Amino acid sequence: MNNKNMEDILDLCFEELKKGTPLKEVLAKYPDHAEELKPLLLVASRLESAPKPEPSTNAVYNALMEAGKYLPEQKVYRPHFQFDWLFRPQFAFAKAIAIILIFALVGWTTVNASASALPGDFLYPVKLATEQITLVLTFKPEGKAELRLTFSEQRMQELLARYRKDGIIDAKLIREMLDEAKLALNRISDLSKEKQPQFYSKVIHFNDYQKNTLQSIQPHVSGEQRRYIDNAIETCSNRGEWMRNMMKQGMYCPWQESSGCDWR
Amino acid sequence: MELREFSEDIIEKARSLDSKAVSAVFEHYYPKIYRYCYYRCESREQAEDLASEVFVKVVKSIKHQSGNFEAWLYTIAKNTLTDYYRRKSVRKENSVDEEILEAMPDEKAVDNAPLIQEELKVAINKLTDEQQQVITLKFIEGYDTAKIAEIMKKSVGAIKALQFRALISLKGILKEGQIS
Repeated sequence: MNNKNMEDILDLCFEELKKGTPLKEVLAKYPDHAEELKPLLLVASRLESAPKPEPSTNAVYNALMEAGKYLPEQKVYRPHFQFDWLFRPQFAFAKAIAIILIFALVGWTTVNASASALPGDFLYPVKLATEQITLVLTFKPEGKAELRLTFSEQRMQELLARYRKDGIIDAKLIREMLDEAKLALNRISDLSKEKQPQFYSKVIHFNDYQKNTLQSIQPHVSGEQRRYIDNAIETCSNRGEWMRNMMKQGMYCPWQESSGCDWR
Repeated sequence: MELREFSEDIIEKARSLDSKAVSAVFEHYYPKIYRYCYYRCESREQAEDLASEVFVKVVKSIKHQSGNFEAWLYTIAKNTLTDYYRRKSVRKENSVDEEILEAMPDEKAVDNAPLIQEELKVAINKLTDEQQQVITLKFIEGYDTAKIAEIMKKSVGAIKALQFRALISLKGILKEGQIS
């Protein structure tokens, strides 16, 4: 088969995956090309499930201010979304903003330094607090759902970093990693009907990615710690299966107690 | 992925410089343009600066815009990035590739930083310009192939070919760097 056909098949495979069809089923449709397609689809899946980088609130504010200068003067530049309050001219409010900015400036260094903190580090609570503030300041439902996935990713990276550093599998981090992914999916009903299938599919791929990562360290872990990893992998497997079943039925629902997908 | 088209009504109002509509456009597209730049430059700060530069240009010229808004917006972003690369290459003549070295995650950073985003960014940076665009629009923003063809002003077949070659390259890059 020539490249032209492979390009078409690859594109068809993306469409199938987007609908939530499992990779195995997609590949089964093209058995002659499965070997060539699989690594490409895995790379694509990795790209799609990576947490999306978001601009900082400060950058958005500065950009709005800069762009606002070029609007005609008679038009009052008042964005209707969450930055609306920044544009009101009340003096008292401006003072409040100035004070907040001073605190923000002082806190900025601390927050930045805390980004790589691990549990037990002095700055780790600052990192968690920063996450919670970001969550509170995010108003869009899809933004909140994305953030939950980002936090889940963070917990997994902390888990890996802690393991590399001290050889310890932190059960609390595993629980939080899985809980954050669960909280992400629980946001599904806040999303518009159009966005639900896409987000559901994203959580499925994200769950697969976490399972693969845990499997990559599984052989190196033994004893009680191995049990944590085994349980987490099993939880991811159960979740993946449950979500795919739900998706097949066109039901984009949050976790249910009866799903049996909680980590023990 | 954006399943619902951003309302043409809002874009039309933004063309008449209605402040609410302009801010709605800003809210909707700023994060997309930020990400488009993020995977193709060296740091978050640069991506933020570039996205801001794009939106200043948008606000300055939106009243003269007609036709496909997204294609126009991404063309501005592409041209802004081209200018940025040009400025960067001029600077590079005077110094060693320190910026590129800085952009590569060192061992410590890989251990602690948000691994996936940074590693993918380094990998995507190694693709050709058009491949970077297709990968970002398809897998980061979730546009379908037909929409990407519109944005990049190419045929659907050309986009399929680009994404095929881009994924083959990425597979090699990720394998080579043991990133996956």
